[in-house]
Amino acid sequence: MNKQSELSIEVAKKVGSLRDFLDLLDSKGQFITWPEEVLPEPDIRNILVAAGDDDKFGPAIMFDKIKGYPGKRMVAGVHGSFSNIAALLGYPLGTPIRDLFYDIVGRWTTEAPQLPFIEPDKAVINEVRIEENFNLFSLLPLYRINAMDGGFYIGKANVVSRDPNDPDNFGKQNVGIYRIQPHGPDTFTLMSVPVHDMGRHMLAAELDDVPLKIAVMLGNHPAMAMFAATPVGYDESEFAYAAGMMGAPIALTKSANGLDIQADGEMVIEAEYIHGERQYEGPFGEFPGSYSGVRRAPVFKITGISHRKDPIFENIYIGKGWTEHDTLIGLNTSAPIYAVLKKEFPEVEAVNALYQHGLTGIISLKSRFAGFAKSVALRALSTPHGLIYLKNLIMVDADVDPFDLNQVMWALSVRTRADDIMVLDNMAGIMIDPSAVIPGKGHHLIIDATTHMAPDPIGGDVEIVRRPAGQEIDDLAQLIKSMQEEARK
Amino acid sequence: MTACPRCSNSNATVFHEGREGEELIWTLFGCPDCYFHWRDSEPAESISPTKRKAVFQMDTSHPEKYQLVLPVREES
Repeated sequence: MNKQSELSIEVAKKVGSLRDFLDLLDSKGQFITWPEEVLPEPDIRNILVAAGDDDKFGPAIMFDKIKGYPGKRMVAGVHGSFSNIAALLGYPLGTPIRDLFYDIVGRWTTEAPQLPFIEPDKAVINEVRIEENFNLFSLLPLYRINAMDGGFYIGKANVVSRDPNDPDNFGKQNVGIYRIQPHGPDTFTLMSVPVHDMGRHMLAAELDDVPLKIAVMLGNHPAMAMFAATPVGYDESEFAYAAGMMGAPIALTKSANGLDIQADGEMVIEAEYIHGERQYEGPFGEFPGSYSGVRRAPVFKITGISHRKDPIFENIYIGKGWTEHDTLIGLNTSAPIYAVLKKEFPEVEAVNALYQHGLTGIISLKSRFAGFAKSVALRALSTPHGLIYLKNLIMVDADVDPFDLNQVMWALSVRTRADDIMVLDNMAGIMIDPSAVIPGKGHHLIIDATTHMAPDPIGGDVEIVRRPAGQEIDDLAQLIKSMQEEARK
Repeated sequence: MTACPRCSNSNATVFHEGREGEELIWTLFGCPDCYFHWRDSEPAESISPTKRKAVFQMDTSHPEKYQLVLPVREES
């Protein structure tokens, strides 16, 4: 059941597309249009890095004066701060991350998603149709995201594909964010590995020698952008989750090659997988903050393009954090881990997997007995995301807010002993972890920073200082802040 | 044909020219051998063969050095 507030439903009803969301951000001072001309490189990345440093209040930035791309528009930073996420969820700017986490957890549902269907000839995404002479390099205002990237990447596309063995199954239709490197005017590589749903689709298509058609959606509903990067179950629909979370409609239509796509998106690039073809891809400055090397990746050929008039190319800055990537997927990485754990261990209080897509995570829980947290940690490592991403896991008690690193460091300082650390070596890991000896394998590290309990005799007589808390303290903090503001005048 | 700043092969071609009215602002090239793309207006660290760090250069005569991200099915 979606537990969102009436206010948030009202906000969600006003946001049916990227353009609607930019209007909302604009009304809250979270959207700016860059006033001066910029060169694609290095101006755009420099501006986006500077904006992305402010993870609390960084705005979305529109570029409409890109030298050499007259008339083209590009926006980034749409999910660049937690205030932008708060605006989408119907909260005030500056809402604490912990509150946003609990809000998203409360909305984690695919029940009764509102996904109305718009006939293709009435969908705004089809205002302009291109069926020949494709050239990605002239169509999109592309730019090099990081200085040593191998090309001009599309970093925030939502890619739709169907399971070749079950093509009519809406749930198994996957929507994911995979980095795309334009290779030729009408070809591109797409980075997906076998563990991804998309990778499974490509392998299945090759095995059975059947075509695999995809739709690359650009300029998407802000909730879709969040869920396309969310690790949901293989047979669960990202469209359904996004609409379920918003509690409001996200209109769909059909692409010309038969996939479900957003009717109000900015652009869709339809393409077909070239079986057996692999081309050099990379490097690319990835979310661990390092360049992935050059690899040989699958190739797709464009078959058609539709877009709105005067389309907005939405892209992202990604690299050494903090970046929009971290804000975009942080809460949606944390929530499904929490949802799985909470079912089996109601003692789990919160999950913070904001850091580098969950390479480091922090879980708070009400410990039931000595060693309990370690067992919960092991379960977290067998969640779909935990399998390869949760490399370092810190377990804390329920009196520690895992989203407040000052509190987490306190727990590490006073509740951890050397034998509270478990290292599970030679496990599955992500390919682009720069510390991995073998890409795709690595360690899991569990640090149990929960307090010691019976039958453990050590530390059991410690009494924690009870900090005064509650409304009175909150009111006093507010009073002090206003006195300070007065003093600054 | 133009030399690629990354793999040094000389097969690169023009993919797009960025213009403001009649004025040519930049030219975008692509290499069909290593698939590097670049714009001639970019900083030297990205596009100058002598300024680029060696670790980012490529040797396309040894494709086996570059890992497959998705295995290719063997023909039976």
